[in-house]
Amino acid sequence: MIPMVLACLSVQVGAQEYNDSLATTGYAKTQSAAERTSSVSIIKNEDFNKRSAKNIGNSLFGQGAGLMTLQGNGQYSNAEPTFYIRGLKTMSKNNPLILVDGIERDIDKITSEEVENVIVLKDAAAVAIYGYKGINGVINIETKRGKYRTKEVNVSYEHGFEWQARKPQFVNSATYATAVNEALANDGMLPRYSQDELNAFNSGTLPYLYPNVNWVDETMGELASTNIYNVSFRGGADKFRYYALGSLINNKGFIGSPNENEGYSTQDQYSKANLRMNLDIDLTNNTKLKLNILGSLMETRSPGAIDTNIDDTSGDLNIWSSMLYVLPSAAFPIKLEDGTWGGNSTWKGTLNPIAMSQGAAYSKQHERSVFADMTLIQNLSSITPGLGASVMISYDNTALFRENHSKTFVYGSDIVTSWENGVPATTTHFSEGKDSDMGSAAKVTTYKKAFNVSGTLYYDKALNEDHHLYSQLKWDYESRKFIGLNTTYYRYNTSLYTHYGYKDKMFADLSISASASNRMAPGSKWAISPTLSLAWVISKEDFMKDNEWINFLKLRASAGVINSDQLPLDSNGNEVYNYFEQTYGGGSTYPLAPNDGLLGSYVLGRLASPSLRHEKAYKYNIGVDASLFNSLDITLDGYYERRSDIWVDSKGKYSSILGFDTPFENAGIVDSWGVDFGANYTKKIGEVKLNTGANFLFAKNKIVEQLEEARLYSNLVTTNDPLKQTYGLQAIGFFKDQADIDNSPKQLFSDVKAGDIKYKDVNKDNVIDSNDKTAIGYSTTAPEIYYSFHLGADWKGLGFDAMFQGTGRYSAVLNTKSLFWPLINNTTISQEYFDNRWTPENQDAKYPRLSSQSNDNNYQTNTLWLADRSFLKLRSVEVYYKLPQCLLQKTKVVRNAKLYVRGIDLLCFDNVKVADPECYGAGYPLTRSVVAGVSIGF
Amino acid sequence: MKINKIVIGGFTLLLSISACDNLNYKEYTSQNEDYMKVTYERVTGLLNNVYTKLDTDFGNNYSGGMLASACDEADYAYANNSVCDFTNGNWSPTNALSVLGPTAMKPFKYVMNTWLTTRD
Repeated sequence: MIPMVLACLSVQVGAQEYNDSLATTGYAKTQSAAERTSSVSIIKNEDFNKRSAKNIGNSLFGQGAGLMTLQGNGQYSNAEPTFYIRGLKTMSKNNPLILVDGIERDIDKITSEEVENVIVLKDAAAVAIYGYKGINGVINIETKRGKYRTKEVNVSYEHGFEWQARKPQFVNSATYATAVNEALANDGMLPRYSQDELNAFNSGTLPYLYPNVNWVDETMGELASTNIYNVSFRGGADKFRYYALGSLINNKGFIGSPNENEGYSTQDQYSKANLRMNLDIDLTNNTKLKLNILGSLMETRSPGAIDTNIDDTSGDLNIWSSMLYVLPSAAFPIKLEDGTWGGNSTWKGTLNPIAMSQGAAYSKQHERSVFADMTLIQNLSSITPGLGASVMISYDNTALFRENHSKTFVYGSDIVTSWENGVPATTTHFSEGKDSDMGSAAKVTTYKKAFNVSGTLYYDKALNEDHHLYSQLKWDYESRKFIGLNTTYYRYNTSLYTHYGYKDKMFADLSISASASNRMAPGSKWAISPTLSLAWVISKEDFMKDNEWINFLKLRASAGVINSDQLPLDSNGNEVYNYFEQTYGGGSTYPLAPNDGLLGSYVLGRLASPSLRHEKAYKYNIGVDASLFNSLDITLDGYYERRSDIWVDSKGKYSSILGFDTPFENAGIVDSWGVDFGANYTKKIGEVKLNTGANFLFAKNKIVEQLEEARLYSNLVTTNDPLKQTYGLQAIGFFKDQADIDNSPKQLFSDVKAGDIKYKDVNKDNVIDSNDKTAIGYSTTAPEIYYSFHLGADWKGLGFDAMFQGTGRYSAVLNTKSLFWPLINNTTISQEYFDNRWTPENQDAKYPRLSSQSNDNNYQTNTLWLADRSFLKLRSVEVYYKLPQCLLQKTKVVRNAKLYVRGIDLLCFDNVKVADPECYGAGYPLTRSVVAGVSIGF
Repeated sequence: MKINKIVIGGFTLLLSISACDNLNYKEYTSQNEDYMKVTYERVTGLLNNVYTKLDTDFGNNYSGGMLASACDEADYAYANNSVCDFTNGNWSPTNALSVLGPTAMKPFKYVMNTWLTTRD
């Protein structure tokens, strides 16, 4: 039966898709891949743990068919990827449910080392038992467990060097002054810098009055470093198994001179310690206890201030986005002659990145988390053979403390007021700010608490030789609380799952789950979601028995309805909790009170929602799993999903004659469809073991209904387009001269001049305005194609492994300040823009003419700023040497030893070039790194 | 067996505690119709809101200019003021100002809809 299937498959070393019988997909009994009817992809530790990443999320780029892992931020402490399973599917939230050992948890603290498998649940059948939360797919992180009658200790150390790739290049001060004068002249204004001043910038002889500072190079050092230490103990006795891990990660950032102060460092730092203990205790032959505990301490430091009142880090002064992407090299000197920090009235000293990274002390964040869960499994064969029950309880708690130890400083500059014979004659001194002591504000800014209980009753029995039945009834309860208002959730979920097998060839699964949540309106708290899935193992049929090259072949199909408790989102993307209640609020005043006093008023709020349904998904999936030639594993899935009853604002449905804010209605419909594919090939040729594989996902979607308002022109209609489609104007070049402007349709955004972007009159009304916007490019949120491939070889313990990952049909809007949109609000200008700007002599330019202010005509989303964001990255490359066993046996202590060198994200092939396609905004650039490591097992 | 019983007992206890109904738990309070009917002041306020939709015309609708400035007798001193749009040719369907535009309809809409939504 199942062991036979496994036996026939076990010849394939490293076969990814089928040797996963231990991976739990949420049922009390683990299923083998052969009998599974749902669409699941399983990623194993030896496959993903190759990036020396700070946590499991950052290890998953390109892993798993159907999973999209998108990188964003380059700051070590904040770098967390975004996940989508099979792309975007709804106007509301698209985030998949992320679980650790079956419980919804943050994964930013989970190290890659402690994870055994990452299980991606994709279709309706796979997510059915997760109730309301599973609608966008599920990622379950399964941690390692002990093994009976073994004992192993593993120690590893990794040291990495990171560097910031594709740092922006800004112009020097002489070029900046020329550019500003040119921009002002273009706008018909007087120059800011006189010829004397331009000369001073050019000669560089007056560095305190006319400085030239390369702020990026002065602030940022070349290299950052990371140390990762892991110690793990894994083993067990006859009735007891354990896995324990101690892990320490330490990263020191890029601040060039962090040790200028006595007693503290102002480096960007991240450190985290994890302690995990997973125990399995066989209390009796029929009673088993599972206990998992993770404790995690994290500390980050950053130079300067952080806000201790908010959890949102976006408001903090970020050295890159607030300073390095703003400050021109001509702004002010780093320090004046007397040692005061530089700063003036246009560019405050608080923008001085060197002052802020050395003289403003530091801020700290501590995060303390504990994740604990316990499961008791009781075999109830004494009642009837095959019956069992289990109970699980878990408690998680996370708190984040922020401490602001920053201080302020005096800054100033000398400003030349008059010139005589080409030398400054008189100056005035500008001074602002004051020296303060280091602050001591501290506060808990984030607090999360989750409590889960579940109980399962299951029945697992071979009815006779041909028929096998497994059925489970599971009840879940969840309470989840965060700091803040309207952040307490209670959910119940009861699911009945039945798995039926006929002769190990035909399988049928039926799930019915009833879910409830306190987030929904009274009367709509409960919803029932049924799912049916089937599988047929063709390779087990008699007519396939003699086939030599098909080792395994299975067809799968599933269909189901999954409900969710998604809430309506207001125009700011915040959830609206009381959508079903008619509320009143305060309105403005009118002078009707006695003595002409103002009288307050009350007004009807947003109208209550007339419909109280749930956003639901009708998910259909067909798939093939195959294993061929004893070496090739393939899994191919095609899916179609209709998401309906999505909450949308109905303002497009009613005329403005309604006079009130329109209600939310369950009217949105989005269709999504696509293909995901995974292949893995393993072959041994002589002494060489070859392994190669690929994943591919093509995910399309279309908005079918969103209650869009009636549009004047067909190009403005967004229904029937994909979700998050980019809209903008179509640029058709630059205006050559005034005659060209006069002969073209009038552009109403602002007064256009030669060198401004010329747009296509899409709606043919002979004027260019916002009615000429149309769909351009693809989405900037998620690509439609996501793929990866890897290649590895091993010869007597010496080997290499490389993993490439890419995207396609993905767009970027290059609107980064200074880099692509320069000089607005006294920002600087990149060398790239300066070299490729339009001038009367350079008509064939890449970018429009310089302008000194935000130019409404040029600086808006259009095809000129639209870039193809598709890329191919070398995600990891590893060269390793495993010391030969014969040598290690002589030591009698060391069991295995591996030395390795890794390169992370070393190559990127793309079209953006001047910035990373995944991180082109004004933030920390993405890093690349080289890591050397050693792992020793005892 | 003893530890077994303690663990099972503990689970049973926790299950019985957590099984209470939390589905009606909420942290928001909404000012509903009953709230509005409680005091005379709130009912007055509801009616008064109709008047807030009118142009009060103390220079607060047209960047400081009063509607009087739109007639021939009183020119507004700043030629760029939006009240001058009435007379300088900028008054158009896309710049409806208030007299014929949606704002003028607001009081009527408001009265109609308040009546429609609150009648039994």
